Parts: sequence; C-alpha cells; structure tokens
Amino acid sequence: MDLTFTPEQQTFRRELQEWFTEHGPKGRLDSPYSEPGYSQHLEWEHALHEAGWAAPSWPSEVGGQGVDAWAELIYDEEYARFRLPERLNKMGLIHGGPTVMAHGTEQQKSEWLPGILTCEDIWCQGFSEPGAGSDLAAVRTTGRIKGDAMIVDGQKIWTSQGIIATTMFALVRTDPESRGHRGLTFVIIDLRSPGVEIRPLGQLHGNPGFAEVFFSGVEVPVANVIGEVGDGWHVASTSLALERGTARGSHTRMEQALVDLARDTAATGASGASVRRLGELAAWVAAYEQAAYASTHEIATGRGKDYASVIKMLGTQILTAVHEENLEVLGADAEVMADHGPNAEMYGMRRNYWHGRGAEIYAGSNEIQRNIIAERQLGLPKEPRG
Amino acid sequence: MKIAFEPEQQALAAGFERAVGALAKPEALRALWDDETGRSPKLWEAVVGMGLPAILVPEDCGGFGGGLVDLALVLESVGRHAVPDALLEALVTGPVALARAGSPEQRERWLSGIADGSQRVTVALRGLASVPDAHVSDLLVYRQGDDLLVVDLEGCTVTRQTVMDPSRRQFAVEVPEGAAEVLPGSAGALDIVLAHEAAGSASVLIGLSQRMIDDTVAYAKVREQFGRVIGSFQAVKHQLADATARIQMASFQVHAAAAKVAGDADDARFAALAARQVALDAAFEANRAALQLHGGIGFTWEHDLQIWLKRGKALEQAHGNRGEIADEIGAAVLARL
Repeated sequence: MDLTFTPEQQTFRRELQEWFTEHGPKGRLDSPYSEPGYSQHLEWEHALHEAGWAAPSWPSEVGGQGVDAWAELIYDEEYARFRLPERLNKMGLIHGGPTVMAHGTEQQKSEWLPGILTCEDIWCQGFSEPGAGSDLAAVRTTGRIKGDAMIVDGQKIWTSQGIIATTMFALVRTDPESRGHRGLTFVIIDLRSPGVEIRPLGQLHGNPGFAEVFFSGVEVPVANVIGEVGDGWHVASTSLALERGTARGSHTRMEQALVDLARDTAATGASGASVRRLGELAAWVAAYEQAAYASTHEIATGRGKDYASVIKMLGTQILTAVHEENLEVLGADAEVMADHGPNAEMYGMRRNYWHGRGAEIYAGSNEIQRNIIAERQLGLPKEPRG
Repeated sequence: MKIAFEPEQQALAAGFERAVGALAKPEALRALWDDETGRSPKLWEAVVGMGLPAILVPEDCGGFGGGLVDLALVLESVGRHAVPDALLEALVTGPVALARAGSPEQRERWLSGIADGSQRVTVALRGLASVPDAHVSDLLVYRQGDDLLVVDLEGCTVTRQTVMDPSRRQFAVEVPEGAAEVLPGSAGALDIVLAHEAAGSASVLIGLSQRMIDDTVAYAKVREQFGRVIGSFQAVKHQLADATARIQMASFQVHAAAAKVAGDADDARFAALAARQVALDAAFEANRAALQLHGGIGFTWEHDLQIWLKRGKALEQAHGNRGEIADEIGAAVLARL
C-alpha cells in the first residue's frame, strides 16, 4: 500500500494549479441564474473548454483528454481547493454525459457530448415527479410512441438547473400497462420544444435554479432514446450510481467546511466541548477522504466494488454534522456570516447547512440508501410492497 | 497511488484466520474462561509458528523489519475471533517500543527473543493498574510521564484483577524500585508507539465490529416475529445498514492509517488517531445494534454474542477512549490552522 501520488500525477496536479492560478476567475461570480452571472459563468466554461479542462476524463474525440480516474480525482480536488465556480453544466458533466457514453450509440455520443462541454446545451435530470421522489418506479410521465416520435405528457419536479437547462435526460413510462420499473424508458428531451413549460420553483434556503417542468404533447424523436425502449431503469441506474459516488471533489469541499469550522471554533474561543466535537468530525472527514480514494481505486482497477450507497448516506450525514457544529459554534452570528462556501451563489453558513440537509434527501434519500445497503449488501429480505 | 494490501499481507492474514478459526471457536474460548491462565498454549504456538512476533522486529535484531500494514489484516482477524491474548501489545506496541526507543544493548537483549517467540512482551501506556496478560508475559514496557520503561516481569508483583470480560486477564503490576530501565530513545519514540497503538487497536475494533454485525445479520435472516423474519423490517434493516456503513467507512481510514504509520508518514499520528476515533464510533454502533437486534437471546449467558459485546466494550476504553482521542484530534486540527 503506497498512499502517495506518482510523479506523473503530481506533475498533472501542478499543471492544473498553474492554469487555475493564471486563468481562474478572480473574486466571486454573480449567480448563474442572473443575466450577468450567466454570462460570467459561460465565459469561464468557455475558457475551460478551450484549454481542454472542461472534462479531462472525457475522451479526446469529444473535447476531453481521456485521463484516468486518479487524474480525474486530482482535477476535482484542485477545482474544489481553488474554490472555483460551480460548474454550469454539472448535471450533464457528472450524470447525463457519462450515461450517454455508457449506453448511447456512436451517433448519440457525437450529437450530444460536445454540446455539454461547450455549454451550448445545459442539461438537467428529469427523474423526480410529485408522486415519485425516492420511489422512481412510480414515474407517471408518459411517452407514447407514434412512428418515429415519442409524445411526452406529464410533469417533473425539483429539477436542479431547470430554469437554465435546454436539455433533459428523463425517465418516462412508455408502456401504459406497466408498473414499477418495467416499462420505463430513458430519453433525451429538448426543452426548447413546443409543449414544454418550465416554472421556477423556490428552495427553502433561497437559492434559485430549481424548477418544475410540464410536458403537454411534446414531440421527441424516438432516436433520442438511450438504450432500449423499456430498459430505462437499467440505463438510469448508471446515472444514479454516478450521482451517489464521491466524484467532483466532495471530500475536498468537506475538508474546507471542516477548516471553516476549525477557524470559527478558534475565533470564538474554543471550549473543551467544541474542540472534542471538532476532533470527532475531523476523524470522519478524514475517513470520507479515504473513501473517495478507495472508490477511485475501484474505478481505476476496474473492479467496481460498490461503495456508492455507503458513501452517499454517510457522506451527507458527515457534511451536515460539520455545518451543524459550525452553526453551534457561531451561535447567533451563524445567520450573518457571509464568507463561507465554495459556490458563488451559496454564501452563508445557513445556506451551506440547508444545502447539506437537502443532500440527505436528493440522489435517493438516505432511507433508500439504507434499504439498498441492507438488501443488496447484507442480503436481507426486501421490504414487502403493496 | 496504491491503496490495496499486498498479496503477501493478504496471504498472511488468511493463514492466521484459518488458524484462529480452528483454535478460537466460541466453545474453546468459553472453556478457557475457567482455566487458571485463560490462555491456549496452542494458539500462542500458532502465532509464533507463523512468525508474527518477528514482523515488527527490525532485521538487525532477528526480525522481518515489517510495518504495521503487514499486520493490519491479522489484527482484524484477532477482533473477528475475539482472540483473548493481548496480541496488539505482544506483536505491535511492545516490539515497536523496544525497537524505536531501546538502546543497542536493550534491543539486542530483548528483541531477538521476541522475534523467535521465547520472550513475550506486554505493554501499559496508561498506567499499571490494569495490564493485560502480565501472567504469561516475560517483560513489560510501560509509560511513565514522557518516558517508556522496560522491566522483567519476574521481579514484579502481579495481582489479577476481576474484570467483566471473562476472557481477559488484567493485572495490577507493582514494579520494585530500581527494577525498570528507561528506554533512552523515548522522547522520539513515544508518539510513534502511540500511533501504532491507536491504528492497531482500530484494526482489532473493525474486525470485532464486523463480526457482531455479520452474526446479527445472520440472526435477522432467520428469527421470525409477527409472521416475518425480522430482517425484513425497515426498523431492523436500517440499524444494520447504519452500523455497516460506519464499519465500511471507518475501514478505509483504518487501512490508510496502518499504511501511513508503517511508512512513518508526516501525518501518521493524525491518521492513526482518526482511525481509532472512527473505529470507536463504528464499534459503539455495532455493539448497540447487535444486542438490540438479538433481543433477549443476546442477553442470555449461554449465547455467544456476549463474547464480542464485552470484548468490544473493554477495547473501546483500553487504548484511549472516544473523548480522549477526540480531544487530541481537535487540538491537532486547531494547531494546523
């Protein structure tokens, strides 16, 4: 066991650091959901793309560099460490694009992947519905296939990036007689099509970007189906596993949250109890970093042991606990502290805290993750279903 | 970055697992409860036969010059089978203390005997009121302030303590004036020894916790209540999933700490403390869930679950408890700002 990065990996890290130092935006960008902010983000995304840093792990044919899992981890760590702006097209970069790469045809890959990197298309995920949050098998949005077209009717909700998105990867029910996860299809929908209505939906911490998306008789080419019609559950599971992993430097951001907590603990005159709590949290943050490395190791060696549910469930709990303790340490000042957080639009302890609470719900609630661990990993019997 | 154990390390652990699987079955452990020494000579012979006491002994003293990472999986096996012997002390902290802090003469006098199994060492880093396995050990390494000392147990007064876990043998040791020798390199070695203790004990706790949960999962698959096996109830599943997640995530840190301690990394001590902390949290939750989900049968003397429950609780305290470790980590985080 050798827990150090190789000289090549260290060189890659230095190159990135130099580039980020020189080209990274100075100061905070405005919210991407405002007009000036959107252009600022787009400018940054274009700079990344032109330099080949939009998605280094993507194949070079579509604008990446084809680097391996460890280099991708280094990229994510440095991106987070430099506190660079949240990626405008994160749903496309982390979930949508990789799902197309895993299950799409060559035609589909060449049609959609470049637009994600240039931000010509901004992607969002269309899984959740009012009656289908964690229970995706309850999806009711329909896709009736009529010749070369699929007619989509229904509603998606809690759609992140929804108010700026142009493209949705969605689960729709193509077999009206079907129940559960049979009869679902994974399809890419152009949100600029007639019959699509996007309504902004507020989030409790005030951060915009959420939306409800309504479809009435929206015509989508059947060629936009990823994988087979009716096999959407299987295709979506790739995307869900990606969403639950440790990707995108989440361990680095967690460490930053811990450093923020340590600073605030010191600044407010560290009591014995707060030092002890800081120590407990620091231990779990360290373990979470090792979990990120272990899961990168699994990807890099192609063994694919699945830690996703453990990482998602416990990682979100640790992050919330760090923020929770920071609120405790700051006391009433937690309401007004404005200089925390890696994301331009996410300033303030309370926003970070509430965002962490949200993370315990999204990407399959933590209760669902516990069921997955219990049933798939421990082999306990399935919960009886009605 | 290379984060898996080497094949030789896995093979060593698999060999040990086979040996203790045969020698430390619950009925054998129970039989030892009433034995005067409480120790199985066969088990110690197996440990020596596999060369385990020599692994952390430097090569110039007749050992293998290995590191903690070579024994990490073995220590998990110690926990998994609730091996009663104080093996963390005999195989890890004892040899490391003598190797790192001993004078050339002390190293020569003690370490080759440890390596070949003719001398058995035990360790007390937190006082002499409750020293493990003093009755079967030849020498004791203990801490006094910032010093590490070594003493031949033959000249000491050793009084057995009554303890909750009938497998453990704990002793109050009285060291006669002038009998002990200071290990001259203590100042530089104490942190290293403490790091070995924290990371090594974390490995034992991980194995122990995993065993409690494995046994509880097996029980939840067969025990029926309200016409269903209890493992189908979410209230039960979620407790097992929570404990499993903690053990799994703690394992990542425990394995990393073993490698960092073995490699004398700059952050070895921090990693070791963090490993012990997360392993303690995982052990606490596994212990709680295991008894709770076994219900009344788990509280029954005749049921074997108690072997792990009581060992777990003893080891949660024995090598620095949650509060002490967390205080130290917290202070280290603040010092790094």
